[in-house]
Amino acid sequence: MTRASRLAVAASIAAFALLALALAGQISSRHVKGDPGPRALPVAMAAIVLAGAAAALIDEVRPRSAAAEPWQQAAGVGAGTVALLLLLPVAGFVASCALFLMMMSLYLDSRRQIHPATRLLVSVGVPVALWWIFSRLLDVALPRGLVGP
Amino acid sequence: MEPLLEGLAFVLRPTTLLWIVVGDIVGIFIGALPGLTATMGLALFLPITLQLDSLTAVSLLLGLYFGAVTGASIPAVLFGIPGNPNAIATVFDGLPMARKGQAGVALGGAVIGSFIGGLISTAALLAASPALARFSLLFGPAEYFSLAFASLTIIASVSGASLLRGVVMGAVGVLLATVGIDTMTGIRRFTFENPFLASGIGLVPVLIGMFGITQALDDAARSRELRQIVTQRLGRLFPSIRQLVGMWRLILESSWIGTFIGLLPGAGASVAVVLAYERAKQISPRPEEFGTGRLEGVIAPEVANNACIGGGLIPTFTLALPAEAAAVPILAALVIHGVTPGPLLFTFQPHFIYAIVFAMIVANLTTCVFQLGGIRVFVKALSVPPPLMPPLVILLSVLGAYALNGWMYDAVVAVASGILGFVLKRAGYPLIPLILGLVLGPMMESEFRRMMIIAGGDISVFVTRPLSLLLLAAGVGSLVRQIVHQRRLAQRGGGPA
Repeated sequence: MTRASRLAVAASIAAFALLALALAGQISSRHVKGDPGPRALPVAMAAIVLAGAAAALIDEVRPRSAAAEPWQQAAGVGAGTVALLLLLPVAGFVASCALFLMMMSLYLDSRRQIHPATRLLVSVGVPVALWWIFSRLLDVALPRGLVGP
Repeated sequence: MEPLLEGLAFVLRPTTLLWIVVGDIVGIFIGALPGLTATMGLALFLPITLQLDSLTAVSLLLGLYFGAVTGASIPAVLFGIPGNPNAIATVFDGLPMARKGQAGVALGGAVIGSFIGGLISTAALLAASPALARFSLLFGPAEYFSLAFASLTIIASVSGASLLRGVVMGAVGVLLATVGIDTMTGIRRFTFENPFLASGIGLVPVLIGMFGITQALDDAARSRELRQIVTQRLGRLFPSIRQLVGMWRLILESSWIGTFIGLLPGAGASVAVVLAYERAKQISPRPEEFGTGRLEGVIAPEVANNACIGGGLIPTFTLALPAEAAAVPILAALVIHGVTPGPLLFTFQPHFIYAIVFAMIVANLTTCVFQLGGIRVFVKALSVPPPLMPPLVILLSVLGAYALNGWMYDAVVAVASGILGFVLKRAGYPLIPLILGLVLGPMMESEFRRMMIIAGGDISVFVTRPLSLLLLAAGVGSLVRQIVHQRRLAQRGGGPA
């Protein structure tokens, strides 16, 4: 990760802590004698996170050699995972998972090492098998979508 | 002698043995599926036990319990997803071992470690129940708070290269644990009028996300580097006797940690496995190699999590106080079948206790046999083409999170945690303190406030009670030791803050 990205992460944690501190300050302080109340721990933790993130920000400013790690493929898979979440209630478990596996395996397999038949078998077979195990054997209701499982 | 033989004869009946085996196989299956916990499996099977007598019912549930706890090591080692929170620490060295082509040794070691831990804790249940039940009563709110504080600070200080980032992550975890309704006053915190947030941020979805999805994203990012790793030779399937004998001290200490932590209501196996892992690191001649695929890093948590079963059942049987969530269905089974747990159980129904102890030994043994027998089948999962692994792990993670309650909310939490975990990990922030903060946060807060109410607001009570002081000192000592260590590193050549 570049120094700018690390700085951005530390700044985001500090912003999160600041927001948490502001929200924690609004929690009711109603409590019985001796009890520090429901506000105390969130305020204390938000303050620790804020102080720590501030120190991390200062630490990140120092020049340091760090090897750049690849992340582009992960961003694509992350976007695909978010798409899967959006698709599940609409297309149902089997169809959305089959589409997810097919698209992601194509995306990650740029050299086309996987045989198309294997890809198709895994993409369809795994969601169907999981659907059967969870729905039929374990009686867990999976998202049905608008057209079925 | 008569109650002992009576108990043994009962367990050796074919029907009892058959139900234990059924419980084992179902348990291994449940443990191996991420998101399905032992508690969930036990709860699902509770209605089935209504058709059985009390001892057979408890034997079935014990088989399932041992199977689920041991089975959770399978996805932990093969995919880096702990099947349930008990297998958190198994991932640390299990996955690197699998990637070095030693999945068989890791899985074999996990099963053998689980077997030994289970046997030792069963012996503890038999031998030390009355005495341990009395000792656990020494733990009041101050000691529970101090135990949680010590666990969190020890982990925050040793889990990453930077103490500062470890502490920040631990505090973030505790902060996230405060989301939801405050149990003492009923006041909502950080809920934004959202009904899902009112029930808090679920531990299991976060755990699935931060272990499963984060790892899958990491693999996707490095998919070109991983191409050869998964297809190389698997190596032998079991650790050698010499390796195991060389770990006698580690196994004994991990068993002790598991049994003791299991005994403490609310502490849980996820605490025990992390403590056992850290202890393994401390006594190892090569602590710097932990996290890169050390067998001790797999054996220690697996011994501890199975040892927690026996430890956790001690307060269940002696005080009717389930130390772990998974003990609740077992307690319920006892009550449903008209057995009253408590000290009198030992006095008036000793044959029942002996039968349970023998059932635990048999369940432990059969779990070991079935899982060892099936290792080759599980290891075959590694032949999945590398580009398919990240999407498969993500799919299992989303499914596991969703299956917990049938809520898309849990799947969303898992995915958000996974993406967040990936970013944090890349920026050098350790994830374990965050998860432990989420686990221990509720206990820390409730016990601290309970003690403060009892003491009338006098905070000195935490240092005037010897056991509490000892635990606090252990936590602070760990922080100080790490600060000194990092200063020395920085003086030698610019270590992390």
